Amino acid sequence: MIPYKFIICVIISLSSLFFASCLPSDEAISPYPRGEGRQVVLSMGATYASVLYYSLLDDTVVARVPIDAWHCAVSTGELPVIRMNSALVGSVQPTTAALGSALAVPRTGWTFDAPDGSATAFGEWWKQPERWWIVHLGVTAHGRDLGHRVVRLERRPDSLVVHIRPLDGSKTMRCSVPTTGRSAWNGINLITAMAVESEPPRSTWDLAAQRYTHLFVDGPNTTPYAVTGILLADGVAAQRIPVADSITRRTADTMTLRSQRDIIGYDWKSYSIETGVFTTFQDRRWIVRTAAGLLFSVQPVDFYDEHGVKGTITMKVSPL
Amino acid sequence: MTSRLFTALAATGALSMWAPVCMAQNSVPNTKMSATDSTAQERRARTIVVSASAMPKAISDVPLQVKVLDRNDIDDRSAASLPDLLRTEAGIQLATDNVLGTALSMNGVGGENIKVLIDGVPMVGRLDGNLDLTQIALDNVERVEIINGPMSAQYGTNALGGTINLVTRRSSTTTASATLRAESAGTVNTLATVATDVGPVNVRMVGGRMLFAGWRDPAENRSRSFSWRPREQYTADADAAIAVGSSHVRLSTRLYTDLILDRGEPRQPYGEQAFDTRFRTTRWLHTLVARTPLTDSGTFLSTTASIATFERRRTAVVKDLVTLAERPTGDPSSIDTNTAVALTLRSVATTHPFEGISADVGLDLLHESVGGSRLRIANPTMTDLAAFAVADVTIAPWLLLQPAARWAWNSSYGAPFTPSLAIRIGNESLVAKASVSRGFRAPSLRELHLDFVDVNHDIQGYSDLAAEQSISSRASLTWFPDAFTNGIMRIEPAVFSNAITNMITLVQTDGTQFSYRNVGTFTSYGVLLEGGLAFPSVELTVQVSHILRSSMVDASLPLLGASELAAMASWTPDGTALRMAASWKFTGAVPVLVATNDGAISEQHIDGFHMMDVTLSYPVLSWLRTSASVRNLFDVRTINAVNTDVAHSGNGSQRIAFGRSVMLTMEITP
Repeated sequence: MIPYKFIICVIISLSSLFFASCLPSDEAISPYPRGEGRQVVLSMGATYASVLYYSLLDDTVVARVPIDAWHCAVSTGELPVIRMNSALVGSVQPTTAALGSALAVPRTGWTFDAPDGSATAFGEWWKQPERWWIVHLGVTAHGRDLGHRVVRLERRPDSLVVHIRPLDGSKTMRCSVPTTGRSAWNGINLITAMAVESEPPRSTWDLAAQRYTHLFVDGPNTTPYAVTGILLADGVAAQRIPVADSITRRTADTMTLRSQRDIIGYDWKSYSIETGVFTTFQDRRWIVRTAAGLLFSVQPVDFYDEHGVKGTITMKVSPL
Repeated sequence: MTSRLFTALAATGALSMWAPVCMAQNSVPNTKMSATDSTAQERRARTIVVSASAMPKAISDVPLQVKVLDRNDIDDRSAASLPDLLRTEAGIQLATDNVLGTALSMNGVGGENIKVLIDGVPMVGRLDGNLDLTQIALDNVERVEIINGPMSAQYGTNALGGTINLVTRRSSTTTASATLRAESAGTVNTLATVATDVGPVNVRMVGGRMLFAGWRDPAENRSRSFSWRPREQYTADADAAIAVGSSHVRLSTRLYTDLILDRGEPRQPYGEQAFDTRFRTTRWLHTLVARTPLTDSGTFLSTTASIATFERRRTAVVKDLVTLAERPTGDPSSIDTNTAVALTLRSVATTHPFEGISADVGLDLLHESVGGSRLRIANPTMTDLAAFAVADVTIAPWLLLQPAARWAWNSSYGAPFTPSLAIRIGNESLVAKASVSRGFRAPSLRELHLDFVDVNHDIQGYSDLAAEQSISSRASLTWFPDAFTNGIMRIEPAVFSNAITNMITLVQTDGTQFSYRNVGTFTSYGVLLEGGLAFPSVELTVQVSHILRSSMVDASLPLLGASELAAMASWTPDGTALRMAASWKFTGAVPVLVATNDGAISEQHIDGFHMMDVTLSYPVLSWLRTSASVRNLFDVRTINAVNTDVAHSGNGSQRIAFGRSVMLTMEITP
């Protein structure tokens, strides 16, 4: 028989421990006072499905383009440079295989555009006008592979003609894209074989919030990886400065700004595998000079919206 | 809250523990097995093992190398969960992940190659191939049996590197007990047990709560999050045993719930929000065990039927630190649920067909299914039907042969034929054991049917996977030299080798796609040496291990060796019931091969570290036993580790334990 006093003792001990111990809780804090400068919110969506083109002067999102609207683009400058859609992690390699039969997808040899805009995977393609290229169209916002196409590029006075075949060589499509126009780049959809608008006209936007391909270099290995951040428009330049430094237009004018496309880039935030959360470094800002010569201070401060959805870049923007 | 509680409990515990020592040492009854009654060596020699065959056998009669950690070992190490018990065992390595839990490897292999059983029933619910050992509380465990080497012939898949069986406590009389445990790091455990007879039925019920309030390393500059996550666990077990004629039937139900709270730091720039994630795990295990004599000549039929379910739900919320309101995040991936269900039916007939021969002949049926968001098909299932036979052939009193074999059919892959042969030679003072075994590890349902695609990942399962297979050899010697008149000396060297082929490995199958394939090979070799001294009041065990492993990246690279040294000691001063125990382990530096910037392979090391626990226990009253422990005496928290990840952030350190802590335990038994 279990003693009555013992049962009482056990019940009291267990109950006191049970109710006295609990998981940690929070105490409410006061709201943080907001500083000066406008808050700009660019929401790409949780899967980074859109590219947002933003104008610093007008403080507006000029255009929102789905990342899978185009696969490569041709420049409207003097030379028809071909750029892959970096948001899709597209890549390319030349092929010498006979086109009469189906082509196998190579396991290696893929090249990507440099994220800083200094080099492209197609390179100086016009020097080998008869060459065919295998293009990996990339992966969608949801990670689905878009497959491959085989293309040949033909340079015309004011246009670029793209000959497009599937890997099995079943049919050849043809697409003509102008190499002139208001935009710096004109897009090509290699699935529909149509010219599309890949970005707004030049000088109407300054920053693009988007997913893009960064090339991580580890010794002899280069690993392409989709990152998300801010890229500069053609003609825009920037330089990073510490947040703590006071800056005026006069001092900014003396700075050497660089037109490196990914100078703001993705690494103003870090991702923790352990917690699965992006954390924005609060000590980084950039002086940005638009193509028109206007100067702005840009500081990314968050990567989430108020509902906790990632892919929303919040920036403090102040004109100088 | 926890620290205040701990202070109060500490004061109470310290007073209650030490006062009677000074006042009346001999008047206090010893509720614990005294060293003068039985030394550890003697206990081990006569320990009954239930994992290695259908009928319980003495450990010395089993031809496999089995180690039993009994209740004394659990108490000596103040072990609340399985990792606490194993972390000072040489040859066993633990790896801690704050979300996935604690995983182990033994004999150089780990992950899905280690089988964990509770009363002979396999645990389900592996995450990333591992079971979270932290979810295995030991307060209701009588002993832990560790079988080194494959037991695939007996237990099928996963038993390739080793098998761990937890045997829960039993009681045939009316008893009640309570265990209260508090640790300065923030742990408060309570457990109550009641057992009684209700008519012909012996009923036993256990309920417990384990709370860990979280621990943060002061050096990590955290304000809200914890480097060791808070978790709250509940257990409820109910057993009913009845004798029906000459048959014994036991029905048991076990419920386990676990909530891990992952609190985020206040988010910049304003610190008004934080992301919190809750991981809630629920396990149910229903088991029916029946043992029926078939003949008068000792033929028994043992049948175990069980249903095990597992659910793990991850929920991420945004916490408003101004209003303290919580709301779901808008991210579709913020809620994720993984489930697993396993139905097992195992029936073993133990017979003695001829003089000197006993045999276990059995059928094993396993039907399992998993659910979750990252699967190509909803709720894929797998059925495994196997027949196995294990014979003990006693050729002479000093010579035992144990051939075993398993034939299996599986609905998802070609299950391999799995034979093994073990031999035991010797007498009471010198026993040699050797075994050669085939082992296998079935592809998991996730490896067969995974569909994990997001922005940066495209990982697909592969439905044509085959089983991983191994050949393992093991030899050991147990020698009791006649060196002392009042004590026992034990020397136990062992060597082993494991060669695993067809390893299921994630490989790049396309430009951006990865999938599982049977391409890897792995080998490990090891030497283990255990020595023990046991005198009436002092016991000492020393273990040394050196394990060589092949690289997981490229099996042709040189083998990597790592050493461990462990010691356990206990002392019961003459004339007292006070018991002091200490366990210590040095884990040597672990070499790792990494690619350098110039493309060459270089050897780097994960730092070595010491782990030591000290426990003092004393029965204060006839119904109250107290113990005090200092855990992680060297205050090891993190060690330097190699970090080769280029795409994600990481600090190159490996978390080992939270800092030094003091634990007080009270066991109340009328």
